[in-house]
Amino acid sequence: MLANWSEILEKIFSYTLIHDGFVATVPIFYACMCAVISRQANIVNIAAEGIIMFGAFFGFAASYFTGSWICGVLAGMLIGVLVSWFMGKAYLNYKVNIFVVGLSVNMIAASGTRFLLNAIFGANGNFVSDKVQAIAKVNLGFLNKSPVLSSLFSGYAVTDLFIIPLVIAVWYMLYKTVWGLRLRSVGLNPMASMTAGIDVRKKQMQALLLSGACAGIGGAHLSLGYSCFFIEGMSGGKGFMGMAAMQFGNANPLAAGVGCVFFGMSQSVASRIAPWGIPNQFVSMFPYVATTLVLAITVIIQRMKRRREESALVGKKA
Amino acid sequence: MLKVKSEKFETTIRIVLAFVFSFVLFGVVIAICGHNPIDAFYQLFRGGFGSKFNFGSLIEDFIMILTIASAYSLTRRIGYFNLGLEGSFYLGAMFSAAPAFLLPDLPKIVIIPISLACGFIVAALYGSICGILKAYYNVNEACTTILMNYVAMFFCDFMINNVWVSPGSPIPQTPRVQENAMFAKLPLSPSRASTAIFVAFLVYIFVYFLTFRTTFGFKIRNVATNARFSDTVGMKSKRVVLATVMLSCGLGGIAGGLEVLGIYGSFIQNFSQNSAFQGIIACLLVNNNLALVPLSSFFISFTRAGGSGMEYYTGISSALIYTVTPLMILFVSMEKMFDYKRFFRFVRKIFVRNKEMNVKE
Amino acid sequence: MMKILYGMYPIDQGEIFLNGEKVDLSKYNTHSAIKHGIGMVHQEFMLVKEMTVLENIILGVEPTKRNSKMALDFTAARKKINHYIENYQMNVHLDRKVLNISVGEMQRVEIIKALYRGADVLILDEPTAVLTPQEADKLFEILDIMRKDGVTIVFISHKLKEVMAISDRISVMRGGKYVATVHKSDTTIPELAKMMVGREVFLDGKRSMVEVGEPVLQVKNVYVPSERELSKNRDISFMVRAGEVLGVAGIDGNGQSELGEAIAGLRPVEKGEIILGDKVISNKAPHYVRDCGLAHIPEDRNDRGLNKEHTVTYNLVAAEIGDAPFSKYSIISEKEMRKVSEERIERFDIRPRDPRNLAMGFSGGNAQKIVVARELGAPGKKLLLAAQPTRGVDIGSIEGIRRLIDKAKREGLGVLLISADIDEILALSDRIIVMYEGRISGEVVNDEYLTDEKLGMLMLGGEADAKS
Repeated sequence: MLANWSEILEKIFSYTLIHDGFVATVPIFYACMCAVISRQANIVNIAAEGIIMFGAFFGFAASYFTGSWICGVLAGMLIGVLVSWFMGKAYLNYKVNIFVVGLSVNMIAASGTRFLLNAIFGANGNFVSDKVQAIAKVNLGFLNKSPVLSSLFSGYAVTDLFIIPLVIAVWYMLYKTVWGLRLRSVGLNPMASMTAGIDVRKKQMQALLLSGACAGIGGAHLSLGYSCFFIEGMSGGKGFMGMAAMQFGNANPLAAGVGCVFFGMSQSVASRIAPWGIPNQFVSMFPYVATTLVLAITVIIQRMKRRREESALVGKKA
Repeated sequence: MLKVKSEKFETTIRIVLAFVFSFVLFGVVIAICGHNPIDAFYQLFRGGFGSKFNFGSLIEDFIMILTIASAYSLTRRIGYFNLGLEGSFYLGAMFSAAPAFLLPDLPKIVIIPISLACGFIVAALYGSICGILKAYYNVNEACTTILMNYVAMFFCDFMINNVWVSPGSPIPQTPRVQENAMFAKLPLSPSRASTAIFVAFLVYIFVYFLTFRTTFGFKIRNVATNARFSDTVGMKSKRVVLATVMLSCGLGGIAGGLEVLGIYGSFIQNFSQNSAFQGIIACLLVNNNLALVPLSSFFISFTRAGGSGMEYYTGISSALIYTVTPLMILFVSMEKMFDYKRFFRFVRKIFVRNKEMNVKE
Repeated sequence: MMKILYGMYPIDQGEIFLNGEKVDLSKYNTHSAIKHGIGMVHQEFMLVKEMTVLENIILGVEPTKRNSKMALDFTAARKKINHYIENYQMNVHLDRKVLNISVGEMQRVEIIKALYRGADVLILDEPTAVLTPQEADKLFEILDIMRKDGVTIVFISHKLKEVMAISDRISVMRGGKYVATVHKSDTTIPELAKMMVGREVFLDGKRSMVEVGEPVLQVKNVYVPSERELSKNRDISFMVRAGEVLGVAGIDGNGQSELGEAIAGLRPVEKGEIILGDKVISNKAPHYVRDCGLAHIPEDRNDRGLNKEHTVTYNLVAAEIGDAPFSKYSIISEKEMRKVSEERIERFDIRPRDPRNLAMGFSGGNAQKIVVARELGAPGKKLLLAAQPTRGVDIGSIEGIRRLIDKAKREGLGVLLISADIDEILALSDRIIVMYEGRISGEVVNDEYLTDEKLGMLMLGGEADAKS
């Protein structure tokens, strides 16, 4: 029995897990960057899910018509920006509750892509075509001799690898540039930013557009890099997972990145466990529970700290 | 002096305009796709009302949507964005089924209330997690409810795969509930519409009555508009928020119970497919005007039934109508989008200008 | 007033001269104020708490690295800021987050922020209100060096001692009006106190004399927490008897609001106890406190006092909604609510009379009357807690509301009147306690021997005995 267990564990936690886990993580990463950027401007953007759907469809369609994956990715990005612009208009100019906006966008995306798929390609539910060019994969031939190394470092799509500079770039933008400093100040204390002469609404709009671009690329990656087909509802909660990862990392792109890996890994571990008949639901559930706990514990600690500071029993002249 | 009426009038105008605008858009898109819009509308109606079966499936959806919309309306009023209804829908469904296959045979009048109460309690407890975090610690509910939804779904998935297994069925599900626990069917066969519709209406009336006729509703309405005022005059606003969230989630659980005891007869994997969001749409569509909720719920279920009818007869994807409804929500929520006062002013200006021109001539 | 100079509020009329030049007022805003070299340290700090001190200082005027428009140059910023720090001996940790530094340090950050933007006129709004005496001394040292460097300082304060210590010239303002400007050498603290308090009597209504009864409210050694250091209540004790008005005087922000909230059950009490009638009400829910006989006119009418989006009727009965006749078995009766509210509207002379109006449409005076009607219209009250009852109310209604408070006293209620308006305190109270920095600095009887100066000195820190 014990031998059996160790064998199973070996199969689950083999080196291929890193490759699989990373690939499973990437779409979450894109959604997470979307959530991070808008959260830094104090907007809880639940529309990542919908923008990913839009990005996936339009990226796929663009690749179909032009035969170039670069056009596909650009189209995904563009539609992401466009949708975000509409969201920004509705939220900032017409004062619609941001959750209502996000929810509507998610629903419009879910059924709108299904409709367009039917209207343009005449397909129901899913579509595969030879005309679609998938995102190029980076194969490092010299590693072929070692299966371990080639599995670890080779065979990733361009957009898989792009996520690494993207995360670093987002981090750099937020913490090391003028733009990021102002954006964060808008998110944390709009009043203080205003007295420092910053246009709050403009900054929030910029954040939304940028986060839309991230999610849009993520969508294109989903239909062209992660897989090479379009299927309705293919985002499958990845947008929400990205948001949860953002919560986990408290909107810091690097910490949120750790959250993404956490979510992606537990997903692939869960899918590897399933064939052995071991209940995999708890593994899948784990990151969600952990994130909720992290959220709850942070606020409770903050609350206790504030209570101590406000106490009349301590401090001067006590 | 400002009165309540003018605001209500404005909202109603906005709803009507959003409705008209969306359907014009709907027609235009259909025309672009090369179909006859009039025919499409006709088929849409036939899909909803054409036959006993069509109308029956409309009612099937209506039961669930009305219950969820009523439940959602409670939390919407206090500004709590309760996406957790999806999770409570799952838990309510499963735990309503549980007594109905675990307990020995009982008469209808006993087992159905027990089942629904069980679903209600579990769903309300589930809702209390996010409710406490929101009311006492001000944690953003949109984040926590989404997380907890997944927890609920994975939990249900675990239960039907490992604990309450129905052996031999192709899709994972709980064992079938006893026949007595099922609601009697309405005479709309072959559809599965059941007498659960009366429970749905009861829930709606309960929510309406609670909101507008009881002290608790009075507190909800006060907390909704000014929580600090409510605290000052002696309403415990935090407790009101928590109670409202729990109640709303509990009613969401009842919606799940009605789905299982009215239609399926057991809790089946992935039976929901974001059903709770349909109810949320129905509530948002009328800007949380409770009097109009049955109408909008009926409208949403009509678009669901009619949409599939339209797809069947004309080949236009039903997805189109699902795209139009959330679009309508956006239009309804945009405060200045349909500013009828400005419109009237604009019209008057044109008239005045014409008059001036006439005078000059 | 100073917010106008800083461009946060628009100017209706008048002119501003800076360095001898007239400023174009039509385009005057925060941005141009900064450009003209005006820096302001607000009473509420305009700092982003989650960011570091350094980031806060450079926000809005960030230096960038050479050859780049985006990349922040922290080294250059640090160099420039260190120059100020050394010059004025300000002790500031640049890399700490603002939420981890002391209030005094936050203030120094605000000053550096203003200097960093090239301010040569520095406005300080009540800078010492949030500081400990040691920190305040430190601030004065810094300001002194700055003055010698040629920075113009506008120092707004209620504390005369400080004003005398730091200023060259002093302008006195009262109730939004300019009173006088004097040179420091030409004046004394008592003289200033008199100018500041200065009485404008426009109310003739003599307060009525009533036989004083049993104590209704007893506050015993109470400690109340607060977000602001000087508003924390420490060791407060007093008593209000039936048929008596106890005035709580003091400059805003010395803990009076916190005291009121603690009595109403809206703020916890950390130590000590509050007794209303014969029941302990400290740390009890507001609902319980009301049942014990509290009528509470809250300080901020628009926030705690009224629900502006509801009708007059709802506002009038909100506190008693759980009781008969407004509800039976938790079911509310709109008819009864309407009946009682119509009666109260008539009795308290709320205009216009229609109970279906929304509360947001009312003028300050009538809106406040709705609050008073709700609180005093209900039966079984023992204590009236009135916090700033006539703030922002027109003169006609002021008199009416004061008369209602006096009438409550005649009917045998104990009244605790918290007000920053000395005229009001003097017009209504039988006894007066004065709060200063969260403690009671003195208690006096309101009779002909009470002078403005004595009251003023108590409000400024309680050296009344030393001076008189």
